[in-house]
Amino acid sequence: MKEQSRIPTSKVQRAAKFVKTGAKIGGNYIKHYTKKIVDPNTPKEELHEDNAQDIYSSLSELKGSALKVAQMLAMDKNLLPSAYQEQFAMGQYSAPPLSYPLVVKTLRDHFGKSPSELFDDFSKNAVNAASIGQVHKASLGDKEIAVKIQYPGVANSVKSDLKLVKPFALRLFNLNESELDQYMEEVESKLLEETDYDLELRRSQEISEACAHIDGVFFPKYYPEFSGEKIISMDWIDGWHLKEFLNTNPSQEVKNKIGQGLWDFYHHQVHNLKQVHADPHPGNFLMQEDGSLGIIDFGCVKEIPEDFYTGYFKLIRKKLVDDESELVQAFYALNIIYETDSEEEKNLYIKVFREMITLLGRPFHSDSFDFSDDAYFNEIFELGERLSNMKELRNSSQARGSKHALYINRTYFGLYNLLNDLKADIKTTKPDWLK
Amino acid sequence: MKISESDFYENFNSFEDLESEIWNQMLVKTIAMMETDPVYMEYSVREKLLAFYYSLLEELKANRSFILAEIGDVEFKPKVPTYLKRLKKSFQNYIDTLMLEGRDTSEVASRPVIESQYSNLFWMQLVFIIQFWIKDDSRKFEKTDTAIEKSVNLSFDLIGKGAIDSMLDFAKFMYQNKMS
Repeated sequence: MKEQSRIPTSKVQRAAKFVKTGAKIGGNYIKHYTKKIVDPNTPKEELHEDNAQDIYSSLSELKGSALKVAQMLAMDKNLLPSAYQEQFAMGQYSAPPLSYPLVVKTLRDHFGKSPSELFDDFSKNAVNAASIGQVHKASLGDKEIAVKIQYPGVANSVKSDLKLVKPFALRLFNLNESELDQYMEEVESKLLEETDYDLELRRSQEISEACAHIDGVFFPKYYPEFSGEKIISMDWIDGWHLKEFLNTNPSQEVKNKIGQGLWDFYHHQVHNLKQVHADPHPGNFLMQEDGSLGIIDFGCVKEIPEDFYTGYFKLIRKKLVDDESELVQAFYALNIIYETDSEEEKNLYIKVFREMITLLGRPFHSDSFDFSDDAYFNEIFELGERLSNMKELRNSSQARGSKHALYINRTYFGLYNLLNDLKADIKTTKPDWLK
Repeated sequence: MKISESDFYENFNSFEDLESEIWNQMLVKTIAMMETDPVYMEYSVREKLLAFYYSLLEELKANRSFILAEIGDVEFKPKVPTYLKRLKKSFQNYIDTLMLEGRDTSEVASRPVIESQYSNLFWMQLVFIIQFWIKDDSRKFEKTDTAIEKSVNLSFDLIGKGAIDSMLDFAKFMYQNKMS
């Protein structure tokens, strides 16, 4: 009886949920176009907002991995209409909590002891809800500890959730199918990793140790003795999330310092460690008054294969954009164009992707970059909008770009967005070979 | 067996009666164990009942083979089987004290006539949870945990105020699990 584990059974009901959302979105389009007949100036923004509302309200009921997907989509805000972004960002903070007796039971199952036997003090209510678990605050001696507990059954629902998200994402986010398959595969493996708290603990300790020397950032200490398959314990870190932090009106100097810390943190991981905290959403960064930055949550870590690393970062070198033959070489290597493409296709993709990398690589092309430049972000957004409406890209039967790029892109988008929100002006350090 | 036949009959009328007491003891032990935990006293009524079910399951888990042999695949009948009679009585006493407390903490809405049926409502819930657990093949009985969370939340929303959300949630959960 114990050794059997079954494929999750929750599919039907969740499917019904998505169908309902699909129907509602259809309704929103009708509403939009009817309005448009009456008043041709009805902005598309309004439609997006209606859609985002409905998508959000159905995703938020799903919890678990669907919520995670919502988060992921939220990260790509510049490739999505801004109206979606606000809705999804909310998804990062809310999920219904586990009852305290179940928390007690989970701790008992792992440690054979109740919270009050393990700690001097343990908060009865969750102080924070993460996407796949909740956080309680405990204390032991003079230490304050954050105890993260995973919702039961999360790992089981990842696969079935993602299968359901697929048709839905296909229609809503204008992706072509082969690209989406590749995307989903990568997302699935990452999500399954995220439910593995043993792995997360190991990585958290590894990476935070390897990054400890970086100026301006710090990490909690982890407690393996209070961690297990479904539980991770670490030092409690005070600090503000991005939005609250900005409300305190920090000086430009402090904002730059935080921005620089962020940039250096990612620089070191990508170029030296070749593995990166791939979840740069605002909830994982705790900002301090003095401009230092606490970083938590290594549930989602992307390991960067060497050959992908070389191929990908070659593209951001400034001179490459001017060197057609080397650029084309690099595109072949990253599966952006294929030998089997027609000349016409090749030219199209080269043109499109060159534009993209020139734009996205811009912060790397100078010694410092001012991320408060909204015009730059609007350019990215417009390009994203244009690309997602290009028939040729949507109908391509080949996936364009390496699957490893998904999380790397996501990481950089997240980083750029954080820096933009911070309005930070920073030194964009890069390895020598990219100068 | 070290007891004589006469001693046996002094305590139990029959073997069925003995069985009934074995079941009953699991529940009595559970409640006694919980009451030694200082945190338990601070719980809300809803949390007390959750804690009760989780602890009872630990107790049942220790006796799973006995229970499977006893019940097997047989469904609970509407009529309470003899071997559960004592357990039912103790359980309903326990529920009655919880309900009284719940009225003080206003977690339980006072509803004449209907409220006398609450102990039967919870008896059905207990039976449901045990049945669910017997058939549960998930790791560490994770699904039973979820079933407990959801059904207790439903029942307290029913006897408290504003029930629709939890009812839908519960119906959804049951529907999902029927499809397996």
